[in-house]
Amino acid sequence: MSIKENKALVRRVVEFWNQRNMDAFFYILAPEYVEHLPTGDVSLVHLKKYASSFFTAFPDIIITINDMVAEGDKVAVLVNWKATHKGEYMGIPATGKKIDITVSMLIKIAGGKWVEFWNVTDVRLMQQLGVIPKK
Amino acid sequence: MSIKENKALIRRIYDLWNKKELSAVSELYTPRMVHTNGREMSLEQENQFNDMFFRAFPDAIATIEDMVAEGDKVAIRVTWRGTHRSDFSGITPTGNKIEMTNTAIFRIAAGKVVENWATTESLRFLQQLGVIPKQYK
Repeated sequence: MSIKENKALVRRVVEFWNQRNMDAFFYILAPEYVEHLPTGDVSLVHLKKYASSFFTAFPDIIITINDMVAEGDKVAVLVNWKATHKGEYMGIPATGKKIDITVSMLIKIAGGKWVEFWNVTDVRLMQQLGVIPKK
Repeated sequence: MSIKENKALIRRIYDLWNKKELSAVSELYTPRMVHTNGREMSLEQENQFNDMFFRAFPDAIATIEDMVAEGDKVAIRVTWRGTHRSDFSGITPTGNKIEMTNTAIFRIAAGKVVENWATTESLRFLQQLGVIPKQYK
């Protein structure tokens, strides 16, 4: 696939997230798909469980793509999350707080499917949820 | 510049950061604006932050894990490792080893970095400094 097609696939997945169309999202993931999060790797089986709790925690989340850089089989993406914290997330009970943060993602694509994903979520998430001081 | 040259420039800058040759970095890294975690910082503010970071973590070393380049931009994923030896943002030295993942998208013009969008993963970082309980994960 060309870098143009890979970017289009990323745009489509972000639309699926915003539409809460998780079946369509899971269809784009290869069986060997792994998410490399700072807290550890998440397999496809675990993701399927974790994904619904994420959208319960942030039911009104809107994800906007700010930038994309693509080369070979990879796409780096900078997105913005706007959401309200309405359910438990990472052990933090619902706070009702509004969040507005930057998240960077790196996606490896093969044969039209996502095979690997790396994610960095900015520190303001924990600040806006009141877990750490704003300084 | 080609994407190959742009990637070489970013490798060179990180190599200089690892050697703590900050004045050499300042020849190549001249962003008009640094967007860190969605906030805008001037180069002067970023330099002040970097000075504090390298004082607090004098052995800090960055490892470039991944690089993606297109047009005038280079995106990277980096792991920083270091030891907390002096005050960092009001956190007194703990002697703890830290490891954190950062990402950045650099825009390059005429052989220099002219803009930077950085995202820092600091949950694990602050947990390693004992500021946030480990229960959050």
